[in-house]
Amino acid sequence: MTRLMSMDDERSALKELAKVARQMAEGHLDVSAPDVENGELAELASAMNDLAVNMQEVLINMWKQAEIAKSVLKETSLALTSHFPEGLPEDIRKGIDSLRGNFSDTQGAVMAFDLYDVFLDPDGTCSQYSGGET
Amino acid sequence: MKGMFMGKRVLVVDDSSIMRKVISKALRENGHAVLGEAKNGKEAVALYEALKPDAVTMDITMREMDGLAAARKILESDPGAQIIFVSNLEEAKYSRDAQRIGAKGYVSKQRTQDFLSLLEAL
Repeated sequence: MTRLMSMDDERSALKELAKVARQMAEGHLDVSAPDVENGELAELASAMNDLAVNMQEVLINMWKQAEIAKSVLKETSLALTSHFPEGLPEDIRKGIDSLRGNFSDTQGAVMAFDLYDVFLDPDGTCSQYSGGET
Repeated sequence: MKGMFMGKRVLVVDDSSIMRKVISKALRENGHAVLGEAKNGKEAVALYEALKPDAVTMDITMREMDGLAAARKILESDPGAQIIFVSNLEEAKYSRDAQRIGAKGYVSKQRTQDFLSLLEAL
């Protein structure tokens, strides 16, 4: 049976949800909206949590795609070097440096967020804070 | 006709509703049936017990109970459970964990088609 919330309880729950929404908007995706008993407020809390989880998913995907792109760029750069023993032409070198910078900036933007139980290492690995099995 | 169904009956576990949608769509488009979806390890354990799927796609990082803990619980009660981890975490490290637990495989979320090949090989 659903217990009805008093006006004071509702106001307090709404205040708490607003605080968590602000934290999420500021990049703290490791926070969660609390359990609330009121039907509409419970729905709001659940939707806020889904939004944060989906945003974390998209951000990690961006970070990993940038990591893959950096790795491909490194291999391409090495392959090109063998064709230019005197050094890469200026325009190609600048293009590669610029792309590398863009991918690193993308990763830097993702790393500005606080993610739930995920650690993105600048060396390119993505791990669980809680450690896994080993 | 029930007897003609050659695909797998799969339980999809991921805390992200977008990822559940992506994985479920890929499964259906490749002839499999999605028996249910769970958004954390606790739900996964309960749904596995209730639905007895042929296979499970399991995320790792989830609130309440993570995928590694859920897989261990499922495999304790059903050592024949066919679990494939689909995760963003570092493949080199976590695929070893998956193997140690007794899962059937580990694939990166960046290569969503890979879990279909693993599933079809089960």
